[in-house]
Amino acid sequence: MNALAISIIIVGILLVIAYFAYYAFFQTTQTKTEEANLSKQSEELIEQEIENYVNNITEQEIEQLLTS
Amino acid sequence: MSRKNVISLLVIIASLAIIAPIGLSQLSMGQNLPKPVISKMAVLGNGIAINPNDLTDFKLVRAGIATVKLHFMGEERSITKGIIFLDQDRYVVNNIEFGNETIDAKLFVNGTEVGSLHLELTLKGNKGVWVGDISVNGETYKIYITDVKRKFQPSEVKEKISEFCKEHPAECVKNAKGIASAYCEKNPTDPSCREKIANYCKDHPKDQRCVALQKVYCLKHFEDQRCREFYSEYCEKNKESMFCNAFKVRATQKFCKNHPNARICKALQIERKLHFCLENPNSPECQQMIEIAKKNKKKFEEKAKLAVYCAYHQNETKCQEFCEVYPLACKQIPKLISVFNKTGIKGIKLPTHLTIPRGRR
Repeated sequence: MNALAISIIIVGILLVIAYFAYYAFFQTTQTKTEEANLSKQSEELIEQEIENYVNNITEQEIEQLLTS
Repeated sequence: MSRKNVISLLVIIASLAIIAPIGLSQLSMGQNLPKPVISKMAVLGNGIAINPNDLTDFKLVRAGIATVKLHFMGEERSITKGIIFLDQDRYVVNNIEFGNETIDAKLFVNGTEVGSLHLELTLKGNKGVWVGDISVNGETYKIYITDVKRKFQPSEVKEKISEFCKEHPAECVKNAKGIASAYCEKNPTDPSCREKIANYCKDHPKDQRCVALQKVYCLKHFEDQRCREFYSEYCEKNKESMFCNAFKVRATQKFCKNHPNARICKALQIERKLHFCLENPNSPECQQMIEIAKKNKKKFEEKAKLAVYCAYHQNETKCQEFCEVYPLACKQIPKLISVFNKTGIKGIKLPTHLTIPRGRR
């Protein structure tokens, strides 16, 4: 095997390492994005629940709370 | 290895390195995330926050704290979050820690921590109320949040029943007699059985068997607002149900431990002690119940007699619920009777013509 072939193999190995490093970085970024998405979606869902089920408190309810 | 082969290999590796991440990235960007669902709705309600140092400083509260679940690429992810509105100011609730009917958390605005929250669950009538403190921007308020009416939706009934049936297959099949086949009664752990039961209950949430399943599930999950709502409604119609007494005691357990002199805790004092001894008939702490029962014979008599009667007559209609709520008491009848006998209440003993069945001695 001549020197050129050895150089090419070394470059190939370096490229593979770079690929895995890049992939790992990509995965981490993707996970972070997913987590951020999930977090945002969760907030939206909870806010929607508040919107749908929780009305502004009424005077009667305040009175009930204060006198209980 | 020939020069030509090495170059080919290199080209393949290089292509992989460049194309794969780009491809994956595009796949991820192009894919719509599935809609998350609420797994546990701890808080959903409105109320008031009052500054104890300045009674004119109060804020109207709207709040929701929930665990949200999402199935993504075959993996289940869950996250616990909350939103609190104090008047019109919106706070994100994070770093949430659930205790037994307690919640501790931090409040954030635009990612910056601005305060904290501590809540304890109690009841007012059959309605859940979260009581505690909220600190925002250096001010601490007493906060009260009452549950709103938010029932389980049919898809949520399905999910919760499926969850319950996975954890308690025998109890599930027993309560769902007739929904699943005879095969399921013999093989309660078969996933297709719980699937069938859960699907049926999704379509028929008001079917008595589905209600029974929700009842036993919810007895162990008061931290979920939808369960409290279930019991609130159920106990309006079934005031004398064993489940309703257990609901009141269990849902206020932690609160009453921290605030034994609170009105609701004093009112439930006998029930709480009785409940404890029915759950732990061997515990030496049952002595406390005996002392209280001695002083409150009239109030206690009926409950104690019913407990012993039902522990023995488990198949009678009026007693069926008893052993579902207090399985240990039903397994240790002699112990239960000996505890109640010490209260000095007459008539606790078993009728003389009855004997304790084998296996329960």
